[in-house]
Amino acid sequence: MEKQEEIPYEPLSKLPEWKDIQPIPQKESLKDPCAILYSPQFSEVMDYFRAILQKKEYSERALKLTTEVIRLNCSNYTVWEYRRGILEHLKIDLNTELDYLDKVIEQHPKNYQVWTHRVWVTTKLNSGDREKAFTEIAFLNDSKNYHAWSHRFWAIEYFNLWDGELEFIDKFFENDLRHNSAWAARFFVATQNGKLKNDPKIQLQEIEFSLSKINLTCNNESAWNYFISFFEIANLDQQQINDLVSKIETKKTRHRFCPFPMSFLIRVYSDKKFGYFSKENLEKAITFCDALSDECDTIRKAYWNYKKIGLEKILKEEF
Amino acid sequence: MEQKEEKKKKELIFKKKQHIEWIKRFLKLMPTETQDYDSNRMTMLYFVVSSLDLLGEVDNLDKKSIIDFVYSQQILPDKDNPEKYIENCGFRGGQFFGRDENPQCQPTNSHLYDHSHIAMTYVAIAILTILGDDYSRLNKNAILTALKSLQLDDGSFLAINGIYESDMRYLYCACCISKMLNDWSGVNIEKATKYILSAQSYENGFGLLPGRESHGGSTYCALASLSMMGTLNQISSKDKVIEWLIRRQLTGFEGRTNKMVDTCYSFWIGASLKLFNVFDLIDFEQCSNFTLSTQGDYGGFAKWPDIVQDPLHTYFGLCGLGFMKKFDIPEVDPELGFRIKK
Repeated sequence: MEKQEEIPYEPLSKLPEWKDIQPIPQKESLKDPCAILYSPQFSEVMDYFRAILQKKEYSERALKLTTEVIRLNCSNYTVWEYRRGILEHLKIDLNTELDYLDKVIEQHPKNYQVWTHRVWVTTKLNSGDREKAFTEIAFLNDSKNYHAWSHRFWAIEYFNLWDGELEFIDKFFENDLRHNSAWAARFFVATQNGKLKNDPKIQLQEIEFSLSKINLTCNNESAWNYFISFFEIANLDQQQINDLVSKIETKKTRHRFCPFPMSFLIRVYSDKKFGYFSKENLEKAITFCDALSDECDTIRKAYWNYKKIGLEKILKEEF
Repeated sequence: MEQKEEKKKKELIFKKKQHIEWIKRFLKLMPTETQDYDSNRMTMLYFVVSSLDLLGEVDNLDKKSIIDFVYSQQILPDKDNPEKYIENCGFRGGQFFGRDENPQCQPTNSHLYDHSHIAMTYVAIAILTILGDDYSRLNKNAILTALKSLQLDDGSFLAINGIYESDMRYLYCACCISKMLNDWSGVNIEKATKYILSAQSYENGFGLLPGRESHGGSTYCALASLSMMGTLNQISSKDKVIEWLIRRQLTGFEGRTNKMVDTCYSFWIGASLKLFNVFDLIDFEQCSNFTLSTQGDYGGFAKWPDIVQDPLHTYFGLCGLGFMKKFDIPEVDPELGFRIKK
């Protein structure tokens, strides 16, 4: 539900260009459910649109009319399909289509259809040269725009634009260490969409990176999620594990009200694969559940109690 | 101070009567500002009908005219050449193509650009289900044939036949359609499952596409789809998914790590937790209070407090309250997203 800007409107019925077209009205009554009170302009544009759509007219004026329909309702998935048909039939230079899309996306940055169309156009042009700069503009308006990030990821992978991307993402962390979209982007780029996830060099580099950000702000779930994911997949030797765990144990003491060191340690103490699985550590993990449920993470009281019951069960069974 | 307390108390009252009136207005006539819903009108109708169902008002509706409108949007096989554009079959989102109203689903000629949209097909059949229709006018075969043609090699689904986006939302729609029609011939379950698992991110939630940021909406679509396909047990990290879901609660729920709360996630995250049978682990009071704080004076729920209400957030707000068994709102089915009458 967006307010449309008022643009002076000349009725199509007055234009000689459209004289030969018999408009097709929408066939329904206002009694139909969820009927819309269309503006006169919306109705007229759609009446002409229906007429040329039904006869599959691929022409300049049809292209112009799809622009009008999109201006009034850019969610109309049919008009975009038809527009692609016109662009192909008329062999229009798609660079001009990209110029047009720059403007439409700026007005509707959260619409799905516009971004889909952009993928189509850039694929046809076989060039992603404008995509990085374009998404950067979209981030000025909303730096967590899911569509813009998703499109950027797509372009990077499709056109092999990995260079300089980690540095670009770093700029988001300068302003906001909790910027989760930037963390997700970091993962995507550092692992080249998962391909390098198992590379020990990358694993250590990313553990180091996330730990350095945790050192700056402990209470930041984004950094912890990132750190834990690499800690769990990395093939660390026991010495490396011990070094990291001891760092987090120190952090736990220093930030005693922060929930993240404790929830990390609960995981480490209760999973046999890290070498910390013992009666004593399980008991410690249970006290952490109490602290989380009573003091540090009270909104998740029921959850930490549930975790505690699970740990008590393991304790009983194993020791 | 006293005034503030008074205001807070007032905010916590569930304005059932106002909600009913507010929603019914959309059913009668939607304002000009909603004309950008023209092509997605079916989703609006779904939110309205399903909301009224949760508020116990559905039997007071003119069911016949709603059902007729829905059937009018069914795209049928070509009457002379049933194979021509068969992949277009399903439902369109409204009357915008310019067809005559066709509630009895009489044979018609097909057209390249008169195509269904998988989300519209899902909500159209959902509306019919809620209203107790017997599906007698549904062309199941055509719908399932079209559905099959929408699945890509990677297991994901397109929304419409053509060059178009494919992501987790549409895979979810495909599963709902198959479940409601009780026929899975349109879905390759093995491929679909593989696609979903490949979209689980390092945070343990699911992205809208593989490699993308974990998001409450796509996580719901992923989990509900797996559940409907009977492959939910193929997730190896169930406990970690639950922890990611549980961590989304701030007062209400956020959709991504370190974002803001938003009414609709009490459904997306709530239903996900329901699928794992751990919904009771959230803080009901805080979630309910947040949802109620987004109520409008004249009914409806919004994304946040003090902004304008809309049908989507109203519906998902009601669903969230229903999960918590508040105000006698019945629970929706966590897989399909609406109430199934027993």
